[in-house]
Amino acid sequence: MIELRNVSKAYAVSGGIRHVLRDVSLIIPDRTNIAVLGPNGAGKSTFLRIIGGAEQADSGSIITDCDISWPLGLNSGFQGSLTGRQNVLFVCQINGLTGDQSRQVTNQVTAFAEIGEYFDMPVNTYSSGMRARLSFGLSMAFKFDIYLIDELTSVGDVIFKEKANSAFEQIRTRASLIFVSHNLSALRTACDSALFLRDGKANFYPNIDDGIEAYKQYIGAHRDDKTFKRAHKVALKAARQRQRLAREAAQDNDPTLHDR
Amino acid sequence: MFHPITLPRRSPWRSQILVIQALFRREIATRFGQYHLGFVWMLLEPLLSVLVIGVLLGSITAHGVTDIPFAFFVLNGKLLLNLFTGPIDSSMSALKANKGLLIYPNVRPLDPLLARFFYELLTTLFSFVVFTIVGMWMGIKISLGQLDVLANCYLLTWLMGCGLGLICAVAAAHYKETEKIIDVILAPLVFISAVMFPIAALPTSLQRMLLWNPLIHPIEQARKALFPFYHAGETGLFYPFSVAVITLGIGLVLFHNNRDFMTKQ
Repeated sequence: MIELRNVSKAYAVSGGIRHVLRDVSLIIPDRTNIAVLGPNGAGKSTFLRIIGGAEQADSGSIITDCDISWPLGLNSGFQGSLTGRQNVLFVCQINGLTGDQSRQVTNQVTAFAEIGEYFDMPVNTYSSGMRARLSFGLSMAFKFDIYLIDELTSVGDVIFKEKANSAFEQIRTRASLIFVSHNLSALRTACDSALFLRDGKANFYPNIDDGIEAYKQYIGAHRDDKTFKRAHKVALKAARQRQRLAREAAQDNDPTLHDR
Repeated sequence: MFHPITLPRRSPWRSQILVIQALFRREIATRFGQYHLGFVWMLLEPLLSVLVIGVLLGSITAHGVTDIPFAFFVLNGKLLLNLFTGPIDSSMSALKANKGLLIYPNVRPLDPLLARFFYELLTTLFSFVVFTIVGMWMGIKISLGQLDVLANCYLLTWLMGCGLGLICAVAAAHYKETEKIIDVILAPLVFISAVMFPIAALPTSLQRMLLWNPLIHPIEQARKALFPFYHAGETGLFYPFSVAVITLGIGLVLFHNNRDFMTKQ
């Protein structure tokens, strides 16, 4: 269980302040996979970073008795000039694991990621699919009660997606997910409940369908809103470009790992 | 299929030490990992930069600092200068270079800077030890009776560099120009910090002016610690101590207040 008590978080954007959470009090139950919904720029990734402890809230407190993973995302978790192996060892070192444990972790990551000789090459030579494999494999080597996933499974090939799904199935028995994605069908398959973020507010829906319904209503109501439209357009363009780059990178780097 | 490992819970203090150690190793791996004998290069890099300056300037301005060989005289000054500019230079890119790693909750925004600060300190201290041993072996009469003063000189120089490094890192996050401006400001330091000449050799009016430079004090005092007969003018360690405390205080407060902004860059 994660409890948020009067949590506020805001950050400066050009020409103003954006409130991600405004005095939010909320209980997030465990043993349920949660989809985080919200329009672009609502602060879903920031929310994950706060829950994961990588970022501090401006005020309020977050109380939990769970081991929570770091947010698994595409653009974070690795130092680009280090090899995959060095990055994995870095995570072992900051947690003070013994040599045996580190070896065990490395073996599990190589077995899951299946990126072959790329494991000993700098991470900035990886395609986004390979990054996702490494990132996913690394976190699966550790035991958490809650795994935070930020758009990670939206890239990668069919094999990776199957692997990720079977890993989700396996950890379902002992842990839960908090899952950010814009792919609603992926969220429906993986999650039971939903958390809807917008305008600094957060609501929890025990049934994911209710959450998606509320999200769709919100989008429908704000679709004609001028500022919303503009922000959405910009974010959509950026997202498309990201996807295109990821696809190109995947094809350039490794012909066997086409994104499908 | 999976046999996941439970991550051990550790005290914040222990965890911070582990993080800084890991970042320190990462620093060495990326700076020297691509060379053969990378570890040797880590030590050679500061030695070579100091040697080039020492040899070049030693032949140009070969006027007398009695009883201290000129190259050794310059080397000592240059080491402290490096210890001062090193943290300032490397702090400004520290967060950008480690951005991906800040996602791990153990890694606090200050840690990449601390790792780089310690990297500068340890490489400089190592160079100093090597130089001193070589110098003694060559027959230079180095006194080791005032190692405490010497340690204070190195510590204060380093702390001033760290304090200013923190301030510059915050400034560089807000204004991209900072890095270029700092380069320009740091370049002439080698001429006004008594690296190549003893302050006592200058006219009194000029001495007065140069004494405002906090770096000149530990540089001259360090020489006096190694060579008790050396005349270090009116330098003392109280002024650099105050500068270190003030810059560190301001730097830490600025960094703390801007940490979200800085990690978002």
